[in-house]
Amino acid sequence: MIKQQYSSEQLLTRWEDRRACQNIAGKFSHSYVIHEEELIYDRFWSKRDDVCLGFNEGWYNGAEAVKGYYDALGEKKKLASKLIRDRFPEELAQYSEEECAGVGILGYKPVDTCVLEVAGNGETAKGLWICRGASMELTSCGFVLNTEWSYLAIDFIKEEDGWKIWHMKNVFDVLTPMGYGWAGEPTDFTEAPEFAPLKDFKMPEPNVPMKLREYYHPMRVFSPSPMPPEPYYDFSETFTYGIEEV
Amino acid sequence: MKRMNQQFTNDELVVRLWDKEKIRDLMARHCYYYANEWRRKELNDLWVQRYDNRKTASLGNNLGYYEGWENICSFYVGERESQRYARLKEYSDALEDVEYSNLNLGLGQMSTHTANTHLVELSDDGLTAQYLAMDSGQVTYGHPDGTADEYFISGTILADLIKEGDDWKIWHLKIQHDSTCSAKPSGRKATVRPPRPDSDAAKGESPPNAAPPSRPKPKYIGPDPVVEEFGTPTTPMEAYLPKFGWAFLPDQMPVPYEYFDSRKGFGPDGQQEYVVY
Repeated sequence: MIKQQYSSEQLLTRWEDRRACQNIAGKFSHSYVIHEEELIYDRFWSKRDDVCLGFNEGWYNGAEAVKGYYDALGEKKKLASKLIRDRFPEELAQYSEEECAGVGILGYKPVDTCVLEVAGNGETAKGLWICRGASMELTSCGFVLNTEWSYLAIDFIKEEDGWKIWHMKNVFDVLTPMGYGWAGEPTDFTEAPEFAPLKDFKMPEPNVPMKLREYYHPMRVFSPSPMPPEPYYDFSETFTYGIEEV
Repeated sequence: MKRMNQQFTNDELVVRLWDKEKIRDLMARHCYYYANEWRRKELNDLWVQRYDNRKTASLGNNLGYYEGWENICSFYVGERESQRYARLKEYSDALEDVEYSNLNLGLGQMSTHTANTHLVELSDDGLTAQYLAMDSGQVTYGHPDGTADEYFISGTILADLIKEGDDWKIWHLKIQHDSTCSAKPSGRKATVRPPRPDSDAAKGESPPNAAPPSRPKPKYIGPDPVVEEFGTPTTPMEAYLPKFGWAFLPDQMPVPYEYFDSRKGFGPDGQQEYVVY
């Protein structure tokens, strides 16, 4: 890309664009802390149909699949909250199920080490973050505090009502219970009957299954992070954090 | 107070606003390049390019400084590659199907370095900047027996940046390493990896996870594996003492300044004398 020259006004606009995209990543992250995961699609994603959300196991491709993923997160949270409320009646029975939504669960998914590029034409942007999370999850074995090491890579697109997430790839190196090794060490948790319904709860599978990244194990080939964004003018000049065309 | 009276035009303020953005971006890139082992690329893309600046560039760590471009390259690229081959040798010696070649470099190894809680100060003349951030990361050393030593690490990243044309470049980088803390509580057994899909154990020819690995438990007390990678700096000194490092951070935090003074920089000229009270 030929180096662009910008006026001071243009530079300020581009600075605001950068901050807007960083804010979306921040709000996305805070949505887990405040237990509003199910609202992430409505609030932050573009409503285009060519959106996609990738994890290690594959892609949720298209608006319906992406929305379905976040809806399922909301359903899982509701179920976990209900089971916690039932398990701790003395502390929680006086609160409604709605009031208890998210009780006892902690989704701490902070993002840092941001590299962000706004396209020269100002229509799109790309950002890469590191996420070193700690999340308290309710499982069929009870509460489990997980260590997370992951990368969050986002393509943004500017729409009439502001910047939106277009493609997102959240690939993990590590997501394991704290106190256990990161190399696939089996846990010795025992099932808790009061939380058994969680065993039957299944998140929707990616509709484009493919291995985007292997979790860490001692025989894993060296696996660099997703590429940090490079300066570009138009999205057609750069790579995508979404599904690559074959 | 003179500093409070520093006046910039609106256009200059916009440039300075962007300078800070570019510096945060540059130092975040350093973290990805560093963890991705893109060492040569980092030196080519992110570090100073001009001859005079390369002559005075430095890379510091707890054990001292590598001064001058050739010494930095020799350690950051050459010696690092030797370290990676040494780790690979452990695998190739133990496993027949792992070839001792560059294609397998980094097998089972992983690290993450972050740049968070950053401070950036630009000089009044706009030519240099000082940077401080925290690195809350991890390093993981895998072993051919299926075990791994996993560590949370913490430290600080300090840098003097200099503007070359419109671009900011790393001039003096100092990596101050504070701690290497096992992710497994002390006394836990070493990790037993599930069998590889093509292994005998997976084919049922021997019970999976049958024998716990015979290698010693991860070291919980002993030489710091991260510091062991810092090599032998060309100007060796106790450049950072984790035990008392916190006492010196107040003086290392960037503050507004007029122009670069090497005695206050993050290169060897700015090295504070550690006096333990």
